[in-house]
Amino acid sequence: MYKIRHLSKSFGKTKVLKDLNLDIEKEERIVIIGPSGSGKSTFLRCLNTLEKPTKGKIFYENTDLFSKKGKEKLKKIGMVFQSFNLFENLTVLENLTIAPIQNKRLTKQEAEKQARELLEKIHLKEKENVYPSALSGGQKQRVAILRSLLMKPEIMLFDEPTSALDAEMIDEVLNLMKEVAKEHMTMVVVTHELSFAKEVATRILFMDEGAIIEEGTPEELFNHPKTERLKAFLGKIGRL
Amino acid sequence: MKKIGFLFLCVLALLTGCEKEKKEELIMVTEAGFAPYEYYENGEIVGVDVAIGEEIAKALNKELVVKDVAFDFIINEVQSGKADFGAAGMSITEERQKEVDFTVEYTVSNQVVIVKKGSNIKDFSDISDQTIAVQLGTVADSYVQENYPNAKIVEHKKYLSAVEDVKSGKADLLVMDKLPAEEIVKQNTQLKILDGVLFQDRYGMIVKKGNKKLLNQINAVLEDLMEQGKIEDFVLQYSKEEAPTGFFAQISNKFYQTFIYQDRYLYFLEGLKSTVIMALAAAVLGFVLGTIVALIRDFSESTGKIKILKKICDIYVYVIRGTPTLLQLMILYYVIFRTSSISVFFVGILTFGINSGAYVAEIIRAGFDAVGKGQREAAKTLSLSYPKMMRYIIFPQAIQKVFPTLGNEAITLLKETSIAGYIGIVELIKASDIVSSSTYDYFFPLIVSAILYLLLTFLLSKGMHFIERRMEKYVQN
Repeated sequence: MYKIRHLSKSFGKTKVLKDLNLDIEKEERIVIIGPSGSGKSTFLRCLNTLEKPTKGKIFYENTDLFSKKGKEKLKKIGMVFQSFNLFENLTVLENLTIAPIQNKRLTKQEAEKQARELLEKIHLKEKENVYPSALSGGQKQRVAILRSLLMKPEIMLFDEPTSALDAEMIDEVLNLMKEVAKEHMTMVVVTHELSFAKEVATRILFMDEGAIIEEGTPEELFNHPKTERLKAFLGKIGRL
Repeated sequence: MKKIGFLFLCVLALLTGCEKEKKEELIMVTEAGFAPYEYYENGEIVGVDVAIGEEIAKALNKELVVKDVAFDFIINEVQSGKADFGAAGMSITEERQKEVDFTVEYTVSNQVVIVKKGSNIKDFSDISDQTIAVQLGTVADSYVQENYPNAKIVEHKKYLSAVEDVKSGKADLLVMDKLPAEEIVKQNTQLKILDGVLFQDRYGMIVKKGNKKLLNQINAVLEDLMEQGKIEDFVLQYSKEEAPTGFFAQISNKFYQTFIYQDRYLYFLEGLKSTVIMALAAAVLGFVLGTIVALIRDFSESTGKIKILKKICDIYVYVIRGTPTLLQLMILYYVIFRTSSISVFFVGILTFGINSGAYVAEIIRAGFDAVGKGQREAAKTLSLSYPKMMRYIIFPQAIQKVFPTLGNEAITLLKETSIAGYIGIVELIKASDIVSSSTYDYFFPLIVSAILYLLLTFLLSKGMHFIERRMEKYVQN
């Protein structure tokens, strides 16, 4: 599905990503871990063109995402942000329906019907007419996930979706993500939640200093880390 | 872009082409506020110069149109061809002769000295080291500059404010033409004219340099009138009655003179109307223009396209914010619309709209910046196109964030329209000028205008506040 070739990204003189190569297949659930500043988020943001690579190419279904045709492909890629980024001037229902309606994917009635069904599932039906400022962090992130889902993406990117949340709200968001995983969604998740990674991931990437240092199944990486850097990282996280 | 250009041309054609053909007009430009030569009475400009102008028009079989602008602009009006001739009690000086052609002198002006009653200045020999008030750019100005090097000279834009200086003791004396001076001491009983004439001066009318035909025609009429003694008759005819004396009589007279006599309140109503319409239209124009500019710049910055258009917008904002509004008004009126017969009121709206647009563009840009970057990223990942993202997400949020600043800009704009009087639009300040030029009282009409401005800004800020609160629905307290 994704082919990433020789991806490099610099901000000024700082090299953030160094010659990354990766293939992502359908229904894979990839979790990217690594210390902060390792380039995980930048990598994820390159995947949906929020950042423009300095070098290298990203192909989605054999189409260069940065070409003219790539724009159409972007509709199939959903994204969930650390800071939710719900549209502040729109109600919950409007947040959910604006993209499908404006992209003529659904009619207004159809979009609202589907949005309400999803809200029902996460027990936020009664919040459909409130503005995001009246929601808790966990509620905001769950609405943001639904918003992305309503565009019927083939793959969803999660950029540290629980990092901005208070501890008691983390689970409600992770549970929803697990639900999404059960629906066979292809996912790429940047997170520090190792238990989630263990439970959900089909493959784990450990990034440090702009490169993929190790990759493998949760079992391989967590139980048999090969590199010193991964061992040190797991040690630190474990102590937290 | 082509479409917009075409639309603009259409509007321009409509605005310039709508004046109907009538009897040909003869446009005389003046500054009304110099009785008995030219002043307002019953809503019309009358006086010696106007009466002469009527005679000239009659001789040419044209219809006289009198235009009232600031004194410094009169030469400009004639040079640019916006007016056919100027008649404003203008002294014939060498400097002016370089700019325009003068007719024969049609009246001799006696320049006199006004002082406060009981002043130490008994005759002209006491003047040399005093504080002298004059009207800027008049012959009295250059005379005192030349002859009293030790005096402190205060130059006023309007001679009525020079009168106030003498009344309040800020200046010791005022040098000006005898005829209006007589009117002034009639209305201000604490002032008097020193005996004798300080110096004499010759008044002429002006036409555009090289317009020999009109010059000869006017000269013929002037010589004719002088021969018949008509000009002295006009002077007598337009000199006014005496004002009542006594304290209470003066106070109630002030009110009576400012509002009731000759329906002068109508000037304030007209000024109010012009100010409101001009400010409203300019605010709408400024908002539309500012929004377009802000969108072009933002679009260019976020996509890297239309860089030339963005550069143009940058220059527009830079130039407009970097120059005084009065200058923009003059450039638009005397340079860009020099030959067009476009209405002066429309030029006012255009100037203030274009001016405000630059500020609005910056305000809205600040609004765009204040909307978190995440909102744009979310819109992009949801495949909302740039126009849709702007329309539904960024623009509404940006406007809400900068609404108080926009309100400020609207108030500034409202007050800025007060300079429109320079090109002859009767707005609130000009209205008070007109009234004070008839009542010879500078402050009372100005205070009336000030109160009207306060009323307008009060209503405006109330209105803005009301809208602001309605827009705050999605902001958590």
